[in-house]
Amino acid sequence: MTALARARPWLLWVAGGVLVLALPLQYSGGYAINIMINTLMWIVFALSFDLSAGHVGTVSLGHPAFFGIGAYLTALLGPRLGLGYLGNTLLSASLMALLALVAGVAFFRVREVSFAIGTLGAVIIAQLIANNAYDLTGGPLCVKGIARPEFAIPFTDVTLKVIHPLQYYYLLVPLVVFTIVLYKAMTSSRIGRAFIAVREDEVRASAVGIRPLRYKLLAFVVGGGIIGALGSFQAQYVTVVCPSEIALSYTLNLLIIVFVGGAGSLRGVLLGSVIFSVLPRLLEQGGALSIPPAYQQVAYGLILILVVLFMPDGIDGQIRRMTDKWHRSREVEVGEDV
Amino acid sequence: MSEQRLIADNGSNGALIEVQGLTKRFIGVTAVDCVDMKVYSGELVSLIGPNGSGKTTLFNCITGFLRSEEGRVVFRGRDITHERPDKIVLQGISRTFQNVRVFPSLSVLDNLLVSLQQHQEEDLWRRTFHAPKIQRLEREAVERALQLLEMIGLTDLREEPAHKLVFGQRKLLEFACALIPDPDLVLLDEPAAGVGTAMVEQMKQHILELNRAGMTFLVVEHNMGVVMDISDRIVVLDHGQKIAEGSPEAIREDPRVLEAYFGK
Amino acid sequence: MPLQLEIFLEHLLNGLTLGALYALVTAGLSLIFGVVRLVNFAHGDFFMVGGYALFILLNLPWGAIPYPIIVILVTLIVAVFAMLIERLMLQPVLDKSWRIHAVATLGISIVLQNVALIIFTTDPKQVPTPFTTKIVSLLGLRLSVQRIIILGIAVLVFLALQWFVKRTKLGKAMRAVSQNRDMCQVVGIDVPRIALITFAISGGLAGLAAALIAPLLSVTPTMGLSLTLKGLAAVIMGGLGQLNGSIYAAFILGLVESFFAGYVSFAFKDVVSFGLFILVLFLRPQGLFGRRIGL
Ligand SMILES: Nc1ncnc2c1ncn2[C@@H]1O[C@H](COP(=O)(O)OP(=O)(O)O)[C@@H](O)[C@H]1O
Ligand SMILES: [Mg+2]
Repeated sequence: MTALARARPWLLWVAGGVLVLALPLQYSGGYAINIMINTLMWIVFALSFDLSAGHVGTVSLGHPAFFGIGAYLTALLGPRLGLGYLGNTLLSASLMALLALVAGVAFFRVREVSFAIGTLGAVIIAQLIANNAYDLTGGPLCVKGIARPEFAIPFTDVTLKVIHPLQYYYLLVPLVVFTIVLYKAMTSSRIGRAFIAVREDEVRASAVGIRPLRYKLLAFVVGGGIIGALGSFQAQYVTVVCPSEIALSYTLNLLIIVFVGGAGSLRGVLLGSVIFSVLPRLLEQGGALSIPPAYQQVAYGLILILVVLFMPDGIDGQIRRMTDKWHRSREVEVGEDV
Repeated sequence: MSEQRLIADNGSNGALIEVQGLTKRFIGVTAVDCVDMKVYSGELVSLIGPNGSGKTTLFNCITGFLRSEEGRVVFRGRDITHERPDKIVLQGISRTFQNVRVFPSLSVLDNLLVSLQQHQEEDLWRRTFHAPKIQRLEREAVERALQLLEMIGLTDLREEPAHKLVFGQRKLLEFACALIPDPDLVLLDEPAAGVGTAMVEQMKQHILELNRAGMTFLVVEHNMGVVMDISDRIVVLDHGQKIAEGSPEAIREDPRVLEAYFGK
Repeated sequence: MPLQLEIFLEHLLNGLTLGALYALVTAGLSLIFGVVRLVNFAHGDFFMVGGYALFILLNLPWGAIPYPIIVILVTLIVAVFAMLIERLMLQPVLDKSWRIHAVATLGISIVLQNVALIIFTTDPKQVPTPFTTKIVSLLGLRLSVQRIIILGIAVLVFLALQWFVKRTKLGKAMRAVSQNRDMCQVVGIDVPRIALITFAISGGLAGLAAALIAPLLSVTPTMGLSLTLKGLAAVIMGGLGQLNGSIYAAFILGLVESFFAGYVSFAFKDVVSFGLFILVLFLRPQGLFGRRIGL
């Protein structure tokens, strides 16, 4: 094996990191950077969702609740508590992790379909409340004027106010890195093995000493916390929080990203997020052309059906099968050489 | 009654596991009906009985997958009735399932590793981030898994996902998974069912060897040849009740057993 | 009649109508889950398709067809539509996990909703029948003939469904498949055919519901979603795959919603119905009416 081949995974990560950090500098317009922020947000959202759905096999259709409520927490509590960006993010993250713990203990009593639909019911209730509790959330009028993040630079009296999309982009990068590292650490360790055991056969998992509930909760709580932080970012980025942040359409997008990309695979979910966020915008030719949302949705739906029918393991599964084949054919060639 | 409690409480009379008056009812049927039985350390006991006589149900009650209505299960002097399955297995009772269960998408090796990892004490946090201790534990686990793979003859298939194995190989893998934590008691549900004669013989030899090395077995099996060959003692169930118990020779002659099987 | 009583009866009637709607939708969902173990997230959209079929049939350029014939036509159209969906998109994945089912049917749902949006726009379409505006006085209560028709036919349909599942050969085969699919394959029951027929019946029920009840609402591309959600809630409340339990649960939901909307708060009525659903899920995960396997 050559040194290059051995180093390849590392090289890929470094190259990816450089790309993520340098790419936005190539664009001055807000449009492109918005798309990039959007992409990063979907990466965080989808990886957190995949931790449960792809690895432990508990598909909650209620994940947008963590995002929306996380955003509302920042919108409503942030000003009252006078928290900064970090404080807001941590508050949303910890409270949403707590919510995930409580909801998990309650909902993991039921399984599979009942769990999926139960969590769906919960997110509908959350959205209805956000829509109708005018006193608390302003209902459809939204909560407006959320403070933008500010950072006091140490040893000077300069405060850096985050305004431009580019600044928001770099503000988001740490959360993305944190999510990817945590995802990778959890899923490629013994925990990941236990996750898969629980997904494939809960009864058998208990028979080898794994307590399914524990791992389901672990994935759910970690995912919920990260999504809460993401919701907080969203609130401070767009400075408005509406009931539509607890939308079922987010659930659909998550399913599309994760299942089209490849459930339970880091590469698959990353690919899914990028394709899902960038491709439609590319088709719109940088905003010059607008594709009516209905047509986009039809395309998404069809892609979803086609993927389920013809690539059940998603894009990632397809890639894996192709590289496997390639490796095998190479082995044969090498064999003939000798 | 008081005598029973005494035995259970100190657990010093040698019984590794003791089942006392265990009863499990399903709607319309009492699947296990007030069964008492003991297995001593180092023994190889067979549990036999016609189909539907409650053998699997008894296993499920012992291992915590079903909740019995009455009775107790005492393991090494400790009451484990109604404990969770994952806790029970960590105390040293491994089992296999009648309808062979392995994790289909995990590799053969990972199937073994995942069956051991909960037994190697460590906390969740360490398990997330590869601390040196975890690497050491993982090395030990792999070593042990490779030994077992060598024993059951699946070494060459260790990287294959388990769903690619044929039925008999899956059965061997599940057997090895039960052995990897080095349990005190192994419950096997029909280890010789549905596999060819060569593999029946292989399974039999494995069980005998391990038993000679000191491992305790409770085996449900329909293949009477195997049962008579390997058992120290046989317990017979019929309609959920224990109808006979004794050495293979005694059971072979027992009129109640003959009646249960052949409905004389 | 005292006003209080009149209001009460009005809410009761509303609740029963709503219950009939939910029950017709739920029965189809429950049948499909019971027989082929598939949760159909596109089921409410079958209702929506029926609604637009009704809209087209009521507005044919060459003159109106009598309403009873339209009802039959809409029922048949949606039944055939459901069969097509099953054959083209779902049959290949029927033996896959429920996760795959969920993704596939959600995909179908998105496509149906947005195709409807492209063809019919978001404007709600009114589909009045000759009976929606015909009012009769019953026990001093004024109500539209359409509602009487709805309740009457719903009761007839549920009785017929009972008879079909319990007494006919096909119905018995469906029950057999729902109880033990593998065994049925062994004894030579044509499971794919049973699955197809189940979809036809389920679609037909949704079509019938649309033909009868859409006239009281209006038809929009997204109307299916909330019906799917209510239907799924009722299916789980009634005990997954238990036909009768889910029909009762659908009526309970309809009545609770109607009374809560009438007496307490219209805005929060869905909070209450989904809250009730979640409460049942926690307290009786096996369903309100006890555990049983199969239909
Ligand atoms: N989960 C269950 N629900 C209802 N009845 C069951 C269940 N499991 C087993 N039974 C019944 O209990 C009895 C004993 O079954 P089992 O323990 O599987 O017998 P064996 O393993 O000896 O063949 C049978 O009558 C069977 O039908
Ligand atoms: Mg058995």
